[in-house]
Amino acid sequence: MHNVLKPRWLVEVIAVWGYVQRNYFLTKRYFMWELVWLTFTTVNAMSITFIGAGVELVGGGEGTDTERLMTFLLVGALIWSYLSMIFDVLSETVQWERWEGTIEYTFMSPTSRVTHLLGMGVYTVVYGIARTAVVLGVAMLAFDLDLSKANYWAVLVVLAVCSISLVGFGVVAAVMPLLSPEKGQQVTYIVSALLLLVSGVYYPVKVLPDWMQVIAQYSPVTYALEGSRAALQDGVGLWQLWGSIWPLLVMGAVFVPMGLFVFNLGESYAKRTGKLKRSG
Amino acid sequence: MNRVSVEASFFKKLSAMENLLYGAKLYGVTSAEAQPRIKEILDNIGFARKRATEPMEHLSRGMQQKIALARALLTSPVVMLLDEPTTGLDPRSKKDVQEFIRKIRDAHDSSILLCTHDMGEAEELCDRVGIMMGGKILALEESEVLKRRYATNGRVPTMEETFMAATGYSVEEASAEGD
Repeated sequence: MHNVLKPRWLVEVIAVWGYVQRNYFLTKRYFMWELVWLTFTTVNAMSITFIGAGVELVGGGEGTDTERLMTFLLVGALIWSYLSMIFDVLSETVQWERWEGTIEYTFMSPTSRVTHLLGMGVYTVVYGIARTAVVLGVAMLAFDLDLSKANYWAVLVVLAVCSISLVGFGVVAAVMPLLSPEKGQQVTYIVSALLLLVSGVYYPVKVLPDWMQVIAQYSPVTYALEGSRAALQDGVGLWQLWGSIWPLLVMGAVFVPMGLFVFNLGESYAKRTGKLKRSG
Repeated sequence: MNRVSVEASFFKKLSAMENLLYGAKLYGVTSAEAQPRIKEILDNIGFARKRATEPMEHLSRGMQQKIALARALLTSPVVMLLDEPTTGLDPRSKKDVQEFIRKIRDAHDSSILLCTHDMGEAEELCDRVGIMMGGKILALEESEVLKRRYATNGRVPTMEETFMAATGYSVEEASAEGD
């Protein structure tokens, strides 16, 4: 029974599973709300896809490949819903535990913060992929889009690699509520909005002003969308997607350690100044 | 080491069983190891097993605090830190939780450090009572020895009076300072 006999790595692995299982239990308990959120995401993706269907009728869109445009928009909506979910869950880690009143218990447990955030990340990735698959299924029933050439495995690889860098990004953002219990969470919404603006979710990055295109190069979402669209719309293989994958790998290698470093600084500051548990 | 704070710190929508399994895993205890122990502890505190799947928010604060103590016990800690575990409880729940702490003290080999502002609780539950002020321990003795130290004219004071004497304030002086 005494866990002191277990090697450290095993204790951390058990704790990762603890976080995954806890999040699964919470999803089950909030199942109806999850359904509401899934419905919202699906309706949202469909609305955005219909913009493509209406382009010709609105005028000025003659000669547009409507089906391709609709697929472009649908993929953007799907990938953004998945990636923004990862970012949101990670960045809300602190705020969520504060709201539940469990932050002190979780943060005072002996397992490391890496384990905590890894557990959050693993569950979010698995759950996010399942949700995105459901939305894609519904959208395919609603729209007569051709994804016959789609390379789904390549999309999964791109999303998996992008998820790592977004976890890092989310962890950096999660420090904000530690620094400012009152307004910190709102700052994470600004980061999320900025990612949406510059990453080419609903339009090609090339239409942006030059200075925004420079920022887009540092957004992992830009490369995830490029790779996912190429794999889903044109059936491009994994090796040909290397141009999208390597920047994601580099960003993952930079953002994850940077996120953990920044988070540790923020956590120490919050504990020292009594802001860890404060909710206002 | 494990701890129980003034707030039970549970995910209110999750059941006692789900919260306990989560808490155990944070300390490296697997579900297979924790489950028989959880059943045993819940039986010990008189918690009906069928209620173990109910959300925590359906339980009284006293029961939540007892589950919090059970959660700490699950990891077989060498030291248990109880930070005002009965603050804010109604008298019946308070007695109930105190009784459970007494049971833990008698049945387990953990050292228990109980922080409280309730002098009666300190006297009743602790082998030794320490009085702290400004981060310094002013006295640390068995309660009877501690009280006798501040006896005047052969009268042994209550634990509250002992606290006032040890910290250098009478009730009146402390009230006046508050004003």
